Amino acid sequence: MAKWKLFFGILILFTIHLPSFSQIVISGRITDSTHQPVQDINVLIYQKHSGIIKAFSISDANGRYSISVDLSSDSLDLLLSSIHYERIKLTIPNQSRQLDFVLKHDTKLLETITVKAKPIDQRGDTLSYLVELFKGREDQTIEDVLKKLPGIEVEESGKILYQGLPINKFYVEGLDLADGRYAVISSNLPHEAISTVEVFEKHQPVRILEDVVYSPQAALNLRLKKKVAYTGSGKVGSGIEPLLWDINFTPMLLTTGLQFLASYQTNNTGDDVSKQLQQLIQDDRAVFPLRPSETIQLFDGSDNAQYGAIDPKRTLNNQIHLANLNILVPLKKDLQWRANIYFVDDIRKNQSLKEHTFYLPDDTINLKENSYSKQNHRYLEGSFDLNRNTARNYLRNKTRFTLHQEALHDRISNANDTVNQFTSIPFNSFSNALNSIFKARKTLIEVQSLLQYDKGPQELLVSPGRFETLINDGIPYAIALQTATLERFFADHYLGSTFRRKRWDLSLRAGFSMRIQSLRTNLSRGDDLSLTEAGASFKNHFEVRQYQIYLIPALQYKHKGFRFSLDWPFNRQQLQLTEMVNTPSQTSIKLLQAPKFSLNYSFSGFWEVSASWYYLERMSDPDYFYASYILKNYREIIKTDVFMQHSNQHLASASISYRDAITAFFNSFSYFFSQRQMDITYETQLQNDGSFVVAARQMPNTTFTHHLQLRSSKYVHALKSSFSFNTSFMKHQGKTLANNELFDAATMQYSLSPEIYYQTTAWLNFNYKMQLNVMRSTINGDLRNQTRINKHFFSVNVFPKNNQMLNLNLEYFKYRQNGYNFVDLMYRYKLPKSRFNIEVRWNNIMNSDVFIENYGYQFTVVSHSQSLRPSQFLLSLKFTF
Amino acid sequence: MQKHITIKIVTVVYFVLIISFHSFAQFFDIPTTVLDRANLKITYAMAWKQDTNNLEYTRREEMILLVGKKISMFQSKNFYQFCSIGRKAEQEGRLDGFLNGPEIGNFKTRYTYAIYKNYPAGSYTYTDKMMPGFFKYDEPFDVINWKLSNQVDTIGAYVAHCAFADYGGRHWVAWYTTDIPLNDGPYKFRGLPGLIIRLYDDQKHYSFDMVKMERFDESTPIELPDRGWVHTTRSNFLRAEENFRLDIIGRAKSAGASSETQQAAVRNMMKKNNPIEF
Repeated sequence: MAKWKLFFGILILFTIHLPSFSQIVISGRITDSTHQPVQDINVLIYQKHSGIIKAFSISDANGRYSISVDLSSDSLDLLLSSIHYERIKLTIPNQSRQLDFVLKHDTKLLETITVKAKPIDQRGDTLSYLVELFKGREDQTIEDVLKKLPGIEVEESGKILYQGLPINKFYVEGLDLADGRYAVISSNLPHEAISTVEVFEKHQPVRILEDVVYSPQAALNLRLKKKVAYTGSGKVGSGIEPLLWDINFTPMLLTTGLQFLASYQTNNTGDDVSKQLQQLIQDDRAVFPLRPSETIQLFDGSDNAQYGAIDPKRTLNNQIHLANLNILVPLKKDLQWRANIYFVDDIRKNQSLKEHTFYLPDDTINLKENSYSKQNHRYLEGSFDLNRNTARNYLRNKTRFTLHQEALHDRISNANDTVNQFTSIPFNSFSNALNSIFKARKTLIEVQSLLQYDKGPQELLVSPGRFETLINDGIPYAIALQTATLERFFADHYLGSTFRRKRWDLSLRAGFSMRIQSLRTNLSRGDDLSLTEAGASFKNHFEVRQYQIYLIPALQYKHKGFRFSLDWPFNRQQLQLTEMVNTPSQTSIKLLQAPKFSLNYSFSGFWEVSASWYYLERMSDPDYFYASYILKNYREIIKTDVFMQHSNQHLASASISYRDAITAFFNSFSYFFSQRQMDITYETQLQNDGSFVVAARQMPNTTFTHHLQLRSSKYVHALKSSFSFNTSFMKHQGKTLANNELFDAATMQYSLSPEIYYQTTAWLNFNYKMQLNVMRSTINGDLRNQTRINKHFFSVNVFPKNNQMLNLNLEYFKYRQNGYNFVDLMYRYKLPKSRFNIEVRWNNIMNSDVFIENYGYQFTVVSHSQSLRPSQFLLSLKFTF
Repeated sequence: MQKHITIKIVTVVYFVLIISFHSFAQFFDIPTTVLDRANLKITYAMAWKQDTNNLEYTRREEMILLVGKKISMFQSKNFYQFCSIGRKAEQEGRLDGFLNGPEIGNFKTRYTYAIYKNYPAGSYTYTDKMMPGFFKYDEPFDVINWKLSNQVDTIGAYVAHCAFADYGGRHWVAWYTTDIPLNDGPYKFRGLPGLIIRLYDDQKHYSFDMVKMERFDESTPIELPDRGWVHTTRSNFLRAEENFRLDIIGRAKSAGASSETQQAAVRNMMKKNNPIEF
């Protein structure tokens, strides 16, 4: 026992005393010669003569330091070092003690040194993306690679976004070959030809404006691997039931000087390749505020507008051929010449069932129509431009022509009869836009000039003829032929300049425009053998001259989170109408204003509020003035014989948002209001067959729109899921004059849409969304119709391997006790180490044949059943060369 | 008839779009607090692997450490230059020229944070922008505890000593030299008796190598911009960062991106799965 006690006693003694033999504490205070404490002095303890640091301390704000040392040697080396004081080196005994130091100033000038040469290219790989690093095995075109670059997104239309904003130029070796229609390049250019993708952030494409106009958008530039690249891509695809084809051949020659791209594409698989020709970059240097519409369409032929959220590839029954040629040639003196020519021939067939319900105060009229349509769009468009873009001046002259042909045939049947409608709506246009920017002393002056001429001799034939009472004294007749020719000339010139002072921006633009146009329309009726004119009340022949002098001042103030802007355009408009048939000419002169005011304030890092108000005064567009009746389609005949209609509109909005990134909780709420006052009201005379006669009456009418929207989303970390909830409410109301009755018509719509997104792993994610839409129509306050559609969406994406992708989409919706199902499956496989890519698609697996959507306007509700492409299986092979 | 309605609806939608796109760029010339003045600038080459599934891909950027008498600041070099040159340009009224100039691309960076050491005294302050706000947090220095090692090596012309510390879920290895008697270093690391000239984690996913040290005769201010910071904690900030990564689809969706874009964003974000701390 005693032995044990002794043993423990010794052990305890050792335990307590052992460290005290070796662990010592050296502490003290460091001051300078004025007795002020000195901070940040390194106090180091080295094992004697070894140069190995065993312990250290750094003096605190009171100059105090304290070091615990655990060494067995009898003495230690101590070093005091810092930049601003002398260096002290001592050898001290290995004992706890207090050591105070008084240091003298001795600033050591640490000279510039380079540790080792490891220069990072300032432009670095963070700015220029090396395609080599980002390309995946499954990628073929440069667009596929662009989708992967951090900060870059590519939308379905091919539009490229950088940091959420659309790019404002797409260059290859600094040259803009496609003039904003770049999808034809990005979706066909093999990535193998490209070495780097460069992003020019905040890019101002007009060089002389580089010091003046801020652009938040970026531009993309592709650098070629070789100086001359002859490349391209192709696709051959085929399917069954019926025979399907999908062919693409797009060769291109890209160099640092001359560039060329040609493309031929054709398919009948529902892929609207003409979308590649879409202008993805709005040329904002060529926007004229008062320019007439770019197309002429006097008749409303088959209406296949998409109102709902169905993928057009599901419904489009097409047969398209597309040819495209782009050439860019650099000339002398910084000039460039470019030509872009497009040709499209597209045949579309469509079948749909439309149920119109017209709600009148004491009557409800139902019209069911089955329509079959065949459309042939054919157009040739070209633009040629000459461009000089230097830091000293900017010059661009762009000449454009369009030859457009559109022939539509609709066969519409209802319970009683069948109507055939042939519409031919060709038009040709020619325009020239000149834009020049130069410096006069320190002020930048911009000059713009636009000349535009277009003509559309168009025709509508309806058989058998309708509106017998109005047109043919109530006697049925075989054919109604409506002809209409619109010819327009427009010229606009302006001068503009911008001034800047600290937080204020002021810009001023002054211009003059002239628009001269003539419209001739005539309606004939008859049988197959002979046609006779329907008379003077169905004939328009007049000329409109519109002169406008405008001044557009704009003011903007920005400071911290606050921004305010005010635009106040003034426009003196003179409209002169000369009628060749009936009355003498009339002239109206008006001063129109359109002030626009907006405020935005963000605060405390989470909140943002904004408000705006816009008041707009307008004169009627001369395109929509018809002194006598014109047949617009088989169901509508219209007359707007009130001269110079005038309207004004108030638009106001307010929104508030709270976005907290820490809790991943995002909310926004917005309200929008519009009040529009017109000095005319359209009167509709609804016929028993569902057709209507529309005429303008000189009677003021005010319409109101309210729109509320709430969006909320939250990411729940524990569930690895995002939850979101969107809801909206919209109400549109106004007076309607139909069948000699004036009544209030209101349409109300609301929707609720919860959604969940779940990402399990990098190779699997899925999404579920429910959407409930309710639409209510009221006439004089009585509820006349209510429709409810409940839709469910589910999609799964699986990436089993890097070169494989599987996508499954399910859609289910319920409408009037009927359920509708859509199932699509897609699998993509990239052959390893080759330029071939195989894609298998099985669309519409359940073979659903219709898609139903509802929309409403004024007192009408339409239920539209759109026939779909049948279940189809398509195998395609894509390649690059 | 229908056409008029369509036009109206288009006008409405257009207007809603116009007002909702009013988000404004934050410019440079904002008030700042001068915390200290520096006449020493140390540049580090930072290399990191953003994707643990693709460790062959290394990204690089240069970072700078401005050393003042009491306070230092660590920041991306490109971001620092972007802000300071941008501010100068804005003061001289040629902001747009700067933003649109050819050199703007040189300032691209992945990192917009700044780390102020010894502000407040005995702590560091970390500031960063994370959509939609500006955040800052501070932590005391003693969250990083160094253990000294006997290893000695030469890096460049310097004798470097080795030390270890665990921080933010990584085991860090630091090489410091007493020849440069500063107790500072890259990122949040400091507190060794000499400048840290090399720092990496034991998996070598992140590394910082000093490339140069420059002294300027005229001192430059170390400034904290007055951004209306949201004061938070480190763990909340990391949570926000992680939420952003994981909820990318939600953010892309709320920005109005198409479903294809959303999928692309997810695939992209899945590649940025290797943050410096977690």
